[in-house]
Amino acid sequence: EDLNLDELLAKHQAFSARFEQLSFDENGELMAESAGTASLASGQRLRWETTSPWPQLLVVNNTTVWLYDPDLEQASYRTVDTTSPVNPALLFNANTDAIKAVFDISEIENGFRFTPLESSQFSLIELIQDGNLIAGLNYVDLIGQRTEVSFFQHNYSVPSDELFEFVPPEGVEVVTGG
Amino acid sequence: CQSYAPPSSNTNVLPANWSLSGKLGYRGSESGSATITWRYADSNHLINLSGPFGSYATQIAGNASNLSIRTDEVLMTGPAEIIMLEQLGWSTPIDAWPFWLNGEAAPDKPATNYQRTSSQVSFTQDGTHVQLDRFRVVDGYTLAHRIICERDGQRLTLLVSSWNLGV
Repeated sequence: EDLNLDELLAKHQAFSARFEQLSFDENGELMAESAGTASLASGQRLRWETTSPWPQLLVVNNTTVWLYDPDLEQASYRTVDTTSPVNPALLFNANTDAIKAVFDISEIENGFRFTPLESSQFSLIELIQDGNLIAGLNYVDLIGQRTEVSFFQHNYSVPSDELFEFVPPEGVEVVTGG
Repeated sequence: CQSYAPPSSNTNVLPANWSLSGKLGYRGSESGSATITWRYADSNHLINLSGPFGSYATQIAGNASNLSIRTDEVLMTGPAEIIMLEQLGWSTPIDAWPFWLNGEAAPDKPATNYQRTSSQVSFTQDGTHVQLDRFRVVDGYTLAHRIICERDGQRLTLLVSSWNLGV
């Protein structure tokens, strides 16, 4: 019997997985494909390391959002806007009650759909469930661009803390993010 | 991968319609990077930008004299460079890009210190320093896959992952 949402989220408080990501424009045309490794840990910490086609590292900890693009020799950072609703990957850290404060939750055929109650950077987010796994994460932004992320090779050992810290390498220009 | 010398003359003119996808890095009053798709057809641009997790979702449509920019809240229309700066935090002469991407200055304004080496083309036009490199052949066209535009402390870097010509 599949886990309910609370059990599913509880199981995914801290884990890492490989991801493949497809982004579609508002007409459903494929815009971009990417792949890499995601790590999540309690305290709304997230590491989203894209390895192809471009290297890009997104590190979110409870104070800062870092976006590092090695090929642009650029690292941008901004402070975490605690007022803005959860970004999708941080959904994992919440429990149903916390999510209900920000999203309307509905069941879909293979998971759960979250519709923001107030303006956010998404029009919807979906968690795709496969048995007791979060197998995917989809979201649609406010101009209708849809991103579909599938996870695999889940590893439930707690990711080490250093993964959620970021120190810009020597010579990389640090800029304040938009 | 093998890189090619930039086209020696202008025989290599991009077709009227093309599209590309890749990554756009922007540094200025706002800085960051976004996935980009850019379709250019019948002298009109259609650019989709999206940052990590639905951030910076933006669609730019039209041309320099009449551009519309759609972001999360707002659809804004007007003269390109003004609304770009307001909506995106950076701006660029959008109608010059089809020429710049081809390694040429746009015909309507003077260009200075045009330089061509075995692996790079650069020139300055309308206050923007344009540099193209990482040339590769696509369907018989020798095209740059990295374009850097710098103007008044703002820097745009376009990294092309794929060209699609004559769409």
